[in-house]
Amino acid sequence: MDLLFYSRSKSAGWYMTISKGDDMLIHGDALGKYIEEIKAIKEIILTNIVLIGQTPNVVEQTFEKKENRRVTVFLERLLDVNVDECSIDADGNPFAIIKGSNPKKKPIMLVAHMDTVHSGDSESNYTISNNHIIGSGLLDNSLGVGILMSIPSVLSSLNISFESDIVIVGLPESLRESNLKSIRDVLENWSRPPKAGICVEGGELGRLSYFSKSMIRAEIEGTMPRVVGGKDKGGFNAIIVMNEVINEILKIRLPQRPKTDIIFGRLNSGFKHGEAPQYASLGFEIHSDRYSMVEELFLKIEEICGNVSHINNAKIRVKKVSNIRASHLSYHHPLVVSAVQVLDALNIKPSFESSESELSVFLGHNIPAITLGISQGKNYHENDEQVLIDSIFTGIAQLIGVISAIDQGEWNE
Amino acid sequence: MSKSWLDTNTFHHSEFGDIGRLVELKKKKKVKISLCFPTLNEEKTIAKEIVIMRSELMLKHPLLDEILVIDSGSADNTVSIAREFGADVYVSNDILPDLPEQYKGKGENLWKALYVAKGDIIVYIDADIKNIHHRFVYGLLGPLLVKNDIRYTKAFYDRPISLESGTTRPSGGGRVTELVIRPLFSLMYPDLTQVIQPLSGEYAGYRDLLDQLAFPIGYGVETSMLMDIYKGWGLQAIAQVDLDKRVHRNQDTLSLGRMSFGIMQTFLSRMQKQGFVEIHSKIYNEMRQYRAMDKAYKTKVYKIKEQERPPMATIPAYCKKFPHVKQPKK
Repeated sequence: MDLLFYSRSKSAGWYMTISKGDDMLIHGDALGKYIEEIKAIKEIILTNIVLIGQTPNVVEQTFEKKENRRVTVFLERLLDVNVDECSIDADGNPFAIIKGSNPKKKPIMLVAHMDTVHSGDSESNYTISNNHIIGSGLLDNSLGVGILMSIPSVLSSLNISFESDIVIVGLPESLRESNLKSIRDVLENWSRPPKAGICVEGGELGRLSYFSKSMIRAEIEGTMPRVVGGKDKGGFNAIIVMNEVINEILKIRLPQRPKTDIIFGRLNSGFKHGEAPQYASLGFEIHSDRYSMVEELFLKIEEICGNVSHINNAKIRVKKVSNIRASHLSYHHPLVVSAVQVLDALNIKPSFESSESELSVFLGHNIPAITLGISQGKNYHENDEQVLIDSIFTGIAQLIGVISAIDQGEWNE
Repeated sequence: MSKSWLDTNTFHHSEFGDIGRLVELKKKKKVKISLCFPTLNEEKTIAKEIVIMRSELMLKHPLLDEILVIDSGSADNTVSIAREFGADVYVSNDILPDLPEQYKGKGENLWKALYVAKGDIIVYIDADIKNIHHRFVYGLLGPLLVKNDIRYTKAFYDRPISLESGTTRPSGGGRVTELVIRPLFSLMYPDLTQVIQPLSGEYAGYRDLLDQLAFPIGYGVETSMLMDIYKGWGLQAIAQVDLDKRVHRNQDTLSLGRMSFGIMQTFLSRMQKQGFVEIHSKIYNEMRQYRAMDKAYKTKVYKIKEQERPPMATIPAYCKKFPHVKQPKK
């Protein structure tokens, strides 16, 4: 099926031209052919995924310097292929540049976060079976990083070049308390603002994020009064107190508009079955279409914690880990339109979901950006995450299709 | 004891990290290189090993000419997975099927690989390495391509690193190496004690050396190779390469006991052949192990036969396939 790009969007003054004269730049058939050609370098792609995924994302102090092993592997692998520049910026983010033919064009930036939800201080060993890769941290996001590292080899095997520079950036500090530090630093300091950004995530193929909700991520820490003489078998119990906090939060009436939600995501407490814990922590996020609503709810939760703290003579504090203001592209933005059409041409049903990660920082800088998933998988965030190998090649073809569309498209705000 | 060998013939894989240079040396020497994985039920690790080697040492750098899997009759999916990922897979019994006896064991696979491989250099890598990396192969090939007098290389792992001036941390082999092999080598072959991990399953050598060696079928193949190469070519023909860390399946003490039995069997037999000792009593081929069960001790007897293939260069079919083969020295 041929891919028919809109030549113009009526929304908000954006326009995009993908076709030049009568020549279609990307065809569905071409994308299908890409998949087969990308499969020819399957080993290189799988090796990149395995070697980066097995390397812990930890900073180690050697005799001479501090070094993040995952960053080192990222750079070594890219230095070994045909890129024009490969280095590490002042904030420790590794990057590579494939120069385009038109120096006047703004670069296209591809990013992937390199940290995972796993502690990262130990090596993991991946398994490859007939059609799966299995291991921890794959879908979020060693697969995404491995694909970024494979882009130079993929372009070379497809014999594709672009007018824009392609900037490939690994982001070692993104998750949890890192609060998207890497992408914030990169976009703050990159000399030429990119024309567009693509955030690459391992899963799931079909994911297309072009908007971020407002979000506050926070942690409630409850510490009970210390018991003289060690353990407390029946007195203050941090779990029960934290339960009171949760019950009070659940009583908050959430509005239907703006759409708002409170998500409890992590709960930690205790050591032994028969001992009342003195400490508990609860990680949660408040999401809303409107930032003022997120702030209002955060204040309410602080108030709840103050009350429960007073009643139980406990110390309960709420710590803000990160916050993001809602931002979005229009559904009719040429970048979103072209991404939808690429997915359509590959017979992939798009799944639109918000993303409160790197995407929000791009959008916050007024840089059009989307997040794309690469493959299908299961057992998310478990030690035996599984990624379907066959889908990876479709995911890469999708990525190349969208990069081509951005490269050839022209848009102004 | 050759004191300088440890200094002159011990390398680190990073010395050979410029794979392009190795490819140039390979072309200059006009040699072909084969990588062989001996397998038995390795479906969990074999795909990753093949994928990484094909990616790095065939597609990106044409250092290897072929990847072979020689399988002992796996009951799992090792064979189909290896084929799926592009290795040339052989079932051991199908190679040289006219031999009067077919054996099952790693040594048999290594020996038969010589017949099916096309390379002038053969690299043997165990198929159960979880943290496989292409350094395992280019590290072993480095000394063979860079140094003209080195004909055989052997891997070792986790080299002692000087923490501060004058302090080191202990390193060496596993339990069988430190409790069996190193004491035996210290008694009879002190030069070979410098080989840090004589039992490591990763090694590489020139065909014209390997086809002169007899191959024990079972546990003793690594030990006998070292003893025979030392005797026939001297220590200077051997090099060892630090490949950093290797993660593989751990074995329990009873399994290691049986391994030690097989190694000692081979060691004694080599000692006799090389004229070091004469053994006048019967050597038994049964390993007895004991387990406590319901207030009684149960004996379990394992028959560990000493089986050995003669040098491949003595096999007529091989000589026909490789007409320039030299006949082994008697």
